[in-house]
Amino acid sequence: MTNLQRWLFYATLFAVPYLSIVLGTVQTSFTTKYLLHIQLLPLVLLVLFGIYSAWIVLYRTFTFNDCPLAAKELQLEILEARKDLIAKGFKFRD
Amino acid sequence: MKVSGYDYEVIVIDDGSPDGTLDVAKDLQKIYGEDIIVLRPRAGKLGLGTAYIHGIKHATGDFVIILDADLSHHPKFIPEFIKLQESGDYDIVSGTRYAGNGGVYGWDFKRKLISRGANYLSQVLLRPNASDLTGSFRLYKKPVLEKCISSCVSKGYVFQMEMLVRARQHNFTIAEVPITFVDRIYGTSKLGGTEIIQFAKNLLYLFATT
Repeated sequence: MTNLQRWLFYATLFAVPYLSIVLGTVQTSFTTKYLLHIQLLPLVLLVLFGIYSAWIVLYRTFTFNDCPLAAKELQLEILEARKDLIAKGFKFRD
Repeated sequence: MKVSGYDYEVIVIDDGSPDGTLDVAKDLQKIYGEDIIVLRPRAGKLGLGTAYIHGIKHATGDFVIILDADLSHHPKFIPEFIKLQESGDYDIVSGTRYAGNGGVYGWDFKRKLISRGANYLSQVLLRPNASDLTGSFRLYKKPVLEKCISSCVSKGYVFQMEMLVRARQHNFTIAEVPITFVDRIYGTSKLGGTEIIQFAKNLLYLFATT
């Protein structure tokens, strides 16, 4: 099953009971009482997922490690490597 | 590498880049020997995937480590890759900027946000078994690398992402080493509108087909 098929499968699992309630095929005292809430459910879920995603991405952006030490270390090691290579007879062209 | 005691060879694939990469590699070959520095230049720009295939053909070892040669990938992590691979006989060990002590240097907020956003989207849509899909610092068992490449269809930098998606399809095991990524000291890296559109197109393609 591809990812797309998996998503469609879950969407169908949701859509069948949802549509049967919204279109009135299935009617109970519960569904009639909360019909508006049920109708809005997909929108609410979508908004919640959006907020969750935005939160995760922002959180991860702010906690994305900066590595100034790694950069500094690399600069020093480049100098070291240059010296080493020159000692071995390498000629830099710059 | 010599100090760490691992048997190795460095294969340089150069697609006729105008910055004199090949000349430098030739000089290094004189110092380290032709069995350590292996030069396999090609005539013109033929793309990343075919460069990998070309390189594998000439690799004599059981494992292949791929890294960018502009020093944004530090070779100091290689022993960690090897130790981790040995500890669990993993098919692939992938460097990750997104987990543990991994990180980046030289990225502003916008770049980080795009990177994190793209990564989150790929995680949600593709369910890979790794946290860093677009990095290229990885160790592969040689036959695993061959198999992943042969099943890849995309080109350019999305290729790295597809490699791990294919790995998941083939049920290869993946382990991760946190790495620090110091963005190119030499040259400038590119991330523009066309790259983002390219990324989105390939992401959707992989979502629908894998």
